[in-house]
Amino acid sequence: MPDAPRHAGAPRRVLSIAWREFRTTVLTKGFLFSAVVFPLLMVGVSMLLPILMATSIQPMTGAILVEAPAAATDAMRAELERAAKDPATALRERVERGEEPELDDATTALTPIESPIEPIAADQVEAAKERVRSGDALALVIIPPASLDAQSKDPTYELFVATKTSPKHTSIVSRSVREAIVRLRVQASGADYQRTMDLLKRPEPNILRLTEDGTEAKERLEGRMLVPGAFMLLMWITTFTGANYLLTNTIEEKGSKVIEVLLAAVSPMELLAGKILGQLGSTAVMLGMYGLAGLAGLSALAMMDLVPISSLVLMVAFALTAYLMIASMLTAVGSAVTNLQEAQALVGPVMLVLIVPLMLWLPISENPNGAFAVVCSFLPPISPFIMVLRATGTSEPVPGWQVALSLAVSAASSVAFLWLASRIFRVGILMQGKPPTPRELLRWARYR
Amino acid sequence: MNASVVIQGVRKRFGSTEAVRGIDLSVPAGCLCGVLGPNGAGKSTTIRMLMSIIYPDQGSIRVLGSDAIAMKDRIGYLPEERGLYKKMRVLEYLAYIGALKGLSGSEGRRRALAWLERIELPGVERKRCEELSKGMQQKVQFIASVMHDPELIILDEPFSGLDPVNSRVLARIVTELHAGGCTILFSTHQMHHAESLCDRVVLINRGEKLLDDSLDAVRAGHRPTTVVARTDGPFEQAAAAAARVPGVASVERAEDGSVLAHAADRTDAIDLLAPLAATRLFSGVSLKRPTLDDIFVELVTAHGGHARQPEPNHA
Repeated sequence: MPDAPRHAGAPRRVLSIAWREFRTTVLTKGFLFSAVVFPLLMVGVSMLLPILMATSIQPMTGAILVEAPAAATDAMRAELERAAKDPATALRERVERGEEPELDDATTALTPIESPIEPIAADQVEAAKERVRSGDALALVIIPPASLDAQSKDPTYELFVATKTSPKHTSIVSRSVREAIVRLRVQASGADYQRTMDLLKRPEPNILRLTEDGTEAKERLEGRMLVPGAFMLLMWITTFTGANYLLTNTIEEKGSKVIEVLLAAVSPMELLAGKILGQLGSTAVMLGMYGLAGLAGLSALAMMDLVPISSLVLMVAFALTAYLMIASMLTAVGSAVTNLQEAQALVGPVMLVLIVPLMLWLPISENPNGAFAVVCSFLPPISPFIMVLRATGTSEPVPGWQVALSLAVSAASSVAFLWLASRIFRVGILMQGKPPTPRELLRWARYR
Repeated sequence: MNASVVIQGVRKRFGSTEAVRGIDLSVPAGCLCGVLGPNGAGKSTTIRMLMSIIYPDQGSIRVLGSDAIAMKDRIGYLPEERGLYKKMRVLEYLAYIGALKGLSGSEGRRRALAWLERIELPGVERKRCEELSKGMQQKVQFIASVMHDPELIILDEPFSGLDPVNSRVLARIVTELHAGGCTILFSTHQMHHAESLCDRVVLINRGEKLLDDSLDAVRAGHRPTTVVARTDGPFEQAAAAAARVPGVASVERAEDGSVLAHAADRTDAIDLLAPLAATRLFSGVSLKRPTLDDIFVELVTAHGGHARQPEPNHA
């Protein structure tokens, strides 16, 4: 006679179910790619991006043929020499002048410039074009004398490059021509170029918000809108994906009739708890992987100051409550239907509610302490998303009591949602036939 | 003797359908009890209530002296609507169900392999469940219900869908488990299984219990109503002679060409033996003992037939 089995306690049974649920979800190609490989790729790309961009820099060689007054040619040569000698200063000067350099401008500024300026006469233009077309020269620049006139309202120039010429090199040549023309026009007007440039510097705003608790918070678009939005989106996508796995797995188990085998070994509550716990694991994997990818990206952009530890802790806490609420709803739906088509009819109303935080992203980011935002922070099941949107912004601190109350409301709602789902689950999981209406679902919750 | 299962006054209604109507049942420990009944009689509903998968509206149920929820590790259950995780490998599936029943992973795998040998399914442990035939899947499901050595085994239609060879294998194992001391309760509407395996039968029809007794007592309580008269001559002549015997209500031809003489109401079939023999047209006359099938049909017909109840929406 074999030794008697150990009696499985409820926690052990729940853990067995959770482990199976977790394994069957996580150890699939789809999950591994979307939740592990893809975020790792994102991390890799964010770390490799500067290296890749640096390696993409090609030195600018080949003569620049210039048909222009001698002063313009000299000015252009001076501009190119300045850019070649001290690219960082040249870039900074552009920023100070109010230009908005793009990400690509940094690598453009680092491009070694080895192209000589070669003046040509007006009758050599066609031959010069041929040299450019054949690759013998890098570019042909034609600056009309009128463009150097201080009185000219519409200065212009022509730049000819070959089809294969790098956009970065085109940009460098173009910028040096523009700078040369501006410099000469300012000088022609009798003004001092440097003084004029200084006068044209646009003041850098330093917007500070004076909060009710006496602090001053610096206004930053990334901190005010993008980071909270990213937090909320990350939370929304991962919790909804995890809960959606629960929905499909529950439908599959019900459809394959394995449910009654399981219910012979565990109670419906243990089954529900195990399933929700298992998918919580897969949700945590997704949240962790995408969170790390996001942090790696912010680190690469030197913006880690936008994500304090307190924001991460808050997001994890609210993500847990959000997951429990959404998972409860979708598991209840999954238990009540026999296929995905039937589920869609019941998931529709749930989605309508869950999409609200996405729609409120911009208005709440604009006014995170407005009455509407405050009220929404206490309305389950959207409360976790709204509070994360508000509390992770850097511009306007949210009162601590609101964060605590929202967390308490969300946690209590999670328990209530779990209880309601367990009531529906134990009835629905054995149900066959036509899918119930939402009203019938609520009636099941009252069954003995 | 202790009762493994005690059901008292249990009722269950699904909407307007009363699936179980005040059933009382006591299954002694060590008994091999067959729950018989036509489709829709309420057998599966009763069994699900036994397993605490659904709950009765009225009445009480005690399994192994307690609630089934508390005793799940000591009960083996093969549901009528059985399924497997299609993508799971057989050994992994059995180890998982074993874990839910309290077995450690290694013990679960060891027992699963031993059971696969015992049930004549060697070498399938690495296969995915979906790769097995329906009969093989059913055997795996059976293993899942007994691998934790339960005291009480409840099998809902265990033979449905099995071919004769696999039916025999399963019947042999059921008999062995019973001989080993298990209490076994199984439902079926195939009377020959009940007749060959059970020492006690319960008949349910339309949610009511019509019969609950040992197989011998059931047989003893249903006296023969038919005489088998073997003839070597022409059937028509013998049948006509038999029909003229006082007390014979009707005659018909048996498969082997014998005459089956059915006794009229209030006539004991034994009293027909001598008059039939006296016709000198038959080489032998004997009583035809009623089979469980006959008794089943008789009782169900007397109870208003087995008009199938509407399938409840609730499983």
